[in-house]
Amino acid sequence: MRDIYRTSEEQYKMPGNATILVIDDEKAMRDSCYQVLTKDGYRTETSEDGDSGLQKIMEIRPDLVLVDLKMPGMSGMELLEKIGDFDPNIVSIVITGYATIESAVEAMKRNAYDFLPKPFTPDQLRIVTRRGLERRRLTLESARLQQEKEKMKENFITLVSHQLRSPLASIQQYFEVILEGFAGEVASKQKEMIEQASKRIDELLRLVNDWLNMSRIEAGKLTGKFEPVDLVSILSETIGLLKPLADERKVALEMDLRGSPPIVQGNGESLKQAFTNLVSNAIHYNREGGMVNISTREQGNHLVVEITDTGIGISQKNLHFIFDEFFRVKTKKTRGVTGSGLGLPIAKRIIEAHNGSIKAVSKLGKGTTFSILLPKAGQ
Amino acid sequence: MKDNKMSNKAKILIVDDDLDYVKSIRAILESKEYTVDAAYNVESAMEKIKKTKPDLILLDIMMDRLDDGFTLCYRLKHDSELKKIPILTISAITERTGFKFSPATDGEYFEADDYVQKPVKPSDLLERIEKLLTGRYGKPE
Repeated sequence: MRDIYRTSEEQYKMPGNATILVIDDEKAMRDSCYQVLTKDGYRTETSEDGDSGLQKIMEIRPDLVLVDLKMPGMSGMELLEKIGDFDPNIVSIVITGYATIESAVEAMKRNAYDFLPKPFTPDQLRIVTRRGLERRRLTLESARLQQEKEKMKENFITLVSHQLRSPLASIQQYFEVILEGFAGEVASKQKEMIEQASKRIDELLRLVNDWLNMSRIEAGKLTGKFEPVDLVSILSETIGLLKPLADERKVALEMDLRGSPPIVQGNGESLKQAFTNLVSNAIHYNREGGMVNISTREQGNHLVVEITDTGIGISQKNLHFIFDEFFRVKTKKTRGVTGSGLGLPIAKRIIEAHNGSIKAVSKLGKGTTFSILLPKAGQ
Repeated sequence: MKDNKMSNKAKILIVDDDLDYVKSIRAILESKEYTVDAAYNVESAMEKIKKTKPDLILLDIMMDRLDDGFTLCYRLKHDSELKKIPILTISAITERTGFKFSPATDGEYFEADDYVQKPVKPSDLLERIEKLLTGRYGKPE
């Protein structure tokens, strides 16, 4: 028997120095737990009531707490709740002489991990303690792995970004050098072809950028921090950026901003990108002499931005797919427009990352309106 | 024009692991009579910088490792003698897809003197180089 007991004792010892706090108003209970746990190599501390126990938890941040339910002052239930609020990863185990199913359920609801009815043997204490610490180890381990996984995903995107862009950048750099005559005279026919090749490489670079942007947003992250952003300035910048394109296509840009200053909580750079994609589409798929109107208005706790064009419109059949990745409407009228098929999905993801939504209504031959709903800042 | 001539004799070190990229940049720089040398990794770059004391360094960011360029930049800018050499970073990674950095926003972590994205227009590159070189000559010591 002795041998078996010893084996089990060895087995219950935790490697490393876990810290355990025993909170019980009964001195005998504190002392016996202290003895068993210290002997097993745990760093053990004791407290005689809830208030001093909570104090100690904040000081020593234990891995595991043994909590008596019936104590003068702060009740065990209340204490359990406070431990959970302070650090949900601290494992709480209830020890009580008034074990009932009801109190066990109540304790579990308050973040207790296990329940040990008094009186208990040293071995029972060891088993429960070991199980609790194992649980804590697994929880922390899985949180760490999750973090590592996200980090890897992010690094992966950066690496892929570099691997895809580098060769393209090198090719493009050669073209630039040749076109500007740093490698000798270039005949006009050659120049024309290299210019065309260079344009195609540019398209590919843009596609890679777009795709990487998508992956970033997909990884649940928008680069940059969230702060109050004034949509008027975002939209004005967007329009400024796209004015040359609009002029070239002979499309007029109009802004119609109503209501109080439209402030949203968000990331300016990302929002600018979303609106740039939308307005750029509205210009590209417009007609000569057409118009793009951008308006904002309030709607309850939300701001609505509407981007309306007088373009070729989207058929009802195609309207369902426009936010799908790599989907592009293919008709005679869209043949001249190049794009990655990622502009709208990126815009949608950015808007959704801001807790907003986007929808489109369209009439073939008349035009399309995109409505973007964003929560006002402070909502 | 005089200034121009003087800085055109400057020694420029290209630090980049992409041989093709080095070749095309070299063509641009040599056409303006700069003396051009190249290093393809951080260690040989450091050796060359100590030995030849270039007037300007063109620095790639991601070479063998993700942050080689950052590491080299940090080492140079924290060396009392070498920190005077202007560094122009050229990289294919973008603020949006890679690190968020620029001398303006991340000065304390990344103290390069200027940054351009690959590919770069030859005229733009030459202009930036000229600016960094004349800035150096014009700086009171």
